[in-house]
Amino acid sequence: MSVWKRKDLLGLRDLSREEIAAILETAKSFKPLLFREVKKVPTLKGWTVANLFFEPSTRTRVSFELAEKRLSADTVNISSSVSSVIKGETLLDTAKNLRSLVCEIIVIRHSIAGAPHLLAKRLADVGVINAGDGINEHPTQALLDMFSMQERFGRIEGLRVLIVGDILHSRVARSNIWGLRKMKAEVSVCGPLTLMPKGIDKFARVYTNLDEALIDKDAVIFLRIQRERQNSGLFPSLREYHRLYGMTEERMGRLSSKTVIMHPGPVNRGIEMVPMVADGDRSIILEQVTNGVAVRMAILYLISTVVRR
Amino acid sequence: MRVLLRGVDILGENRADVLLEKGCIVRIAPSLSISADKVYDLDGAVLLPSLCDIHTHSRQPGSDESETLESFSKAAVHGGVTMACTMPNTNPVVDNPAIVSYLIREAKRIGLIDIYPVASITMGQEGKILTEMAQLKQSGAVAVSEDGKSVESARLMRYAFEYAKTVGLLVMVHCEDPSLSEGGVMNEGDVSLRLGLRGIPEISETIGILRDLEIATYVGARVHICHISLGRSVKIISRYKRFYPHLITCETAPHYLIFTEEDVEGYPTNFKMNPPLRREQDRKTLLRAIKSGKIDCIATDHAPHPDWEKELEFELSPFGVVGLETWLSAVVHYFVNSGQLTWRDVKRLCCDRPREILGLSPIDLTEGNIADLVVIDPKREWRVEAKSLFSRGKNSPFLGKVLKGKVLLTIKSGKVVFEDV
Ligand SMILES: [Zn+2]
Repeated sequence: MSVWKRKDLLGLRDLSREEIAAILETAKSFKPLLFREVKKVPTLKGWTVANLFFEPSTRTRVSFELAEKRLSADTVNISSSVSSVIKGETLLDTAKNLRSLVCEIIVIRHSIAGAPHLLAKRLADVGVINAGDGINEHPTQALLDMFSMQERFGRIEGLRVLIVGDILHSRVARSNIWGLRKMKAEVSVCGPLTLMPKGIDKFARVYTNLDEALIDKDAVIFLRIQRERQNSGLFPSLREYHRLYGMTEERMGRLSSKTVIMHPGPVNRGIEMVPMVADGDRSIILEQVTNGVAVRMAILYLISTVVRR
Repeated sequence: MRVLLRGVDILGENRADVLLEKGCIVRIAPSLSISADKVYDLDGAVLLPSLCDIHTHSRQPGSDESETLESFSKAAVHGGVTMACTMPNTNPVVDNPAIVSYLIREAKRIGLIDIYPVASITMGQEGKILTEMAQLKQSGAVAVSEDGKSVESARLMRYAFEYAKTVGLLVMVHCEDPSLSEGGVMNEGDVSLRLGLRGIPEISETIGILRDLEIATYVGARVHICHISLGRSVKIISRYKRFYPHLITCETAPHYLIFTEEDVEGYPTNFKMNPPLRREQDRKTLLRAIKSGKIDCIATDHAPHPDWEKELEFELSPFGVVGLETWLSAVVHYFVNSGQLTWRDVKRLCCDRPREILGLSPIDLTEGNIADLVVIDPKREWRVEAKSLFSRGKNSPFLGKVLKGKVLLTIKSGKVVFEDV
């Protein structure tokens, strides 16, 4: 485990293949714990972890909180809207306050790319975990996606992974692209060109036709579509989006037998996929949720080995 | 007051002693044995006319925490600049003759540099009513500009060009289509994809340029295009210049010639400006274009901000970097010392063409001419640090870098206004 030498997890773009493998390996050892009668280990007893959420997110926050509690850490939840920024309290003010609260690890979700990086730079003795920054990265989500794939297929190398939807505004897509490429998976993306970032073709194969894209894939991640995107003219209607990029029963019928369906949640049923797909036997969406806790425990643990108390 | 500059390399070409008296260059000779009130032994440092920066933000009136006219003037002379055009996007906006006269008068009182104010195109930069350009000109405005943004309505922009032509004022345009750039904080491309930052596409600049070139050439008005950052912009402007050589001029800023989008890695806010840093191929094209004259001049777009504004998250921190104090040093460090530009190029790009754009003739380094001068040692190194800058804004992309090329003397009308010999 000596591969891990970072006090922060800011994104998968900075990590090496070995570091990602170390996280997945550690998560594997934590997972059985989740099914034991006594679900707690004393690993982080006496540690304080602050969950600093500048953006509403129930799922990620609950998953982190559970991981922290399973490790016996004390947790502080601070939900702050970006409106406090407008009130004049900057991220660095918040950081200074946190320093005086004496917490060892901060989990941060922020609507601005690079916010966790700024915090990590300023708080030299505190571990910082990025729980999603703007449209940049959501590393723990991608790690749990990769963990789920590895569990299902026994490997990541060589897997053909397709990501469908709003690639442009998706931190989940970015983290998955960086992580999966490091682990030597073949990544492709599918969606309308209005939702593709410029230059994406250098990192992933680009499809605009879902039926073509689905052929011979091992895992397909459907991204949550933000309803607001429709109003900014990026696509004409949710109905048409579903027709072009939604997973339907008919498309399921043509899918190869090995393909699994994934989604970071929460699913817009009837838009990204019909309920029958989300709840069907190809969907590993609920496994993803469970694995999220194991992966976050692994990260908290690895970071605690570096942060000095 | 007689000042003797001993052993300067005039334009980096021939060494001589230069005597200044009554604000003028009175003697240039290989060796002068004359007494003077002040004698400087300069031993091969290079003598140029002092620089003229046609694009700066003094933040005055209105924003003392960013810059005062005093700190602005000191920063200018530290960089070898004795003439600066200040942009009107201040608080209040420079849209009336009183503010124009105030800026000129205050700079005179401080006595280090001359300010040539640029007034706004529309009242309050609101894009609705044209400013009283005739009166602005009479009070000393040298141009009008909506810098910081474009006039959104093409119809009003047409009127602006026509009216400015009527009163004989230059229009300086900041070219940007806000419907394309909105929400963007850096160049759209590989690096914005990697960093997860929202991009400003090239077409927001090029469409802005095309619109204003079309209008200006249609009505036959003079237009100066500010801070171009793209190879594509050079191509477009050159095409129009071929047919309208007397109507069109343009500038770029030192940062576009030195840095690229790759420098935004790690979210350093001192590399955030508008237009944004572009790709390496753009940087190379811009460099070729200043050499060939396709781009007329370099201007700094000096934009000071207080520390607390630049210590925010990248997306929240404001656009703009300071540039007055590193302009000449950086040009010498990166381009003259490496042989990519000659001292004559520097004179053309930083002294002569900027003056010509304002309708003034260049200053030649010959006897009888006004002594607006700068002496720079191309071999002396200095580290750019917050404390080495006179500007209140410490937001320089050069912070921490060592530049080879240091201004030793800045002289305005024969008077030494900056000295670091
Ligand atoms: Zn501008």
